Amino acid sequence: MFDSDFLLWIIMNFRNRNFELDDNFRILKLSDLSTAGDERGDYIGRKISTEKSINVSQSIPMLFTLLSGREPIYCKFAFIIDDYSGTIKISNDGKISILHSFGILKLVSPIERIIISLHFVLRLVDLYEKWKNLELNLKYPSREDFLNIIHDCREMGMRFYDIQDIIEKYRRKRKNSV
Amino acid sequence: MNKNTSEIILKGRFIIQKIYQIKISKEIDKDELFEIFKKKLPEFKRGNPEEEGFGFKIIEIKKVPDKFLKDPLLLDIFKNLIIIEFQKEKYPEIIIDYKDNKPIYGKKFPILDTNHIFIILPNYMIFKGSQSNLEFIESYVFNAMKSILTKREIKNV
Repeated sequence: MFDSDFLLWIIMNFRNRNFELDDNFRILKLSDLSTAGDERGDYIGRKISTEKSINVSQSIPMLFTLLSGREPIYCKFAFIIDDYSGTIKISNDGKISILHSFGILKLVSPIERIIISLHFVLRLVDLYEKWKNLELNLKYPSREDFLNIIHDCREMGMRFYDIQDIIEKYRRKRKNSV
Repeated sequence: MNKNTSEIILKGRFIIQKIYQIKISKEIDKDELFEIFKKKLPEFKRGNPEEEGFGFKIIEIKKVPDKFLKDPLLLDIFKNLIIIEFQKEKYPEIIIDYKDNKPIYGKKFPILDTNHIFIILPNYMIFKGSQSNLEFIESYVFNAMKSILTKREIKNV
């Protein structure tokens, strides 16, 4: 298993614009996140996932789940490692999926794909080792990190979407229906 | 080319289930380990619905892709890599006959599950593929390495 807090560390680093997680290991985009936790008697639900967000570390629904105490169970991000680009999904059950449809892996032969993928895996394992040995105040999020989440949620959540379009859309549907 | 070896064909996504950090007792090089696996891992044999066939194949890649020569990081992995392919039959229930226009189900033709094991000397062992045969594969591979393996530790834990 990858510790959920390792995934949280990646998310918080991305939120704080520390994109360079390790030497020549840079996160470009954090698109998917799933969190889960015990039932807490709230309405969020046990497991929540967001896919294909332009930045899931700023996704209000996901931030709410983190504040509620739910923990990351998987995340997917695009990266550049030693000048090779790729997309990877890591889960807290230890599973690592490397996508072939993005970056360098789309362009190369099967054996190159294997070697480059293995290189990604080794870099990730190495990063995980480094994370395990981090000082505790760097390993886990700070009070400020969570206050920032609340700040961001307030800022984004207070905004009302322009609902003219959706009203118009359904107004048209209602009119067109028999 | 040795009948035991062939070029690799990879299908589907690259899914890693388990990563071990290993230590090998003495200075054993890639060729020696290669021979150990070839000797100790059973080759693939066809089976039947009662006894599903399975087996291993050591994959040897003869030609170094040009790209690796330019990148020491990749060349290093390539030089120290052993790829083992594991295949196991699975017999799904299908319609094998009809009686009074009613289908009769049974097990007849196998499909093959494939896993790959990547050993990157001297320290890593990476298991790729589905979860279902993992324990079975591990027991064979670690048993083959019994006399030379001094340490194994799951790394993605």
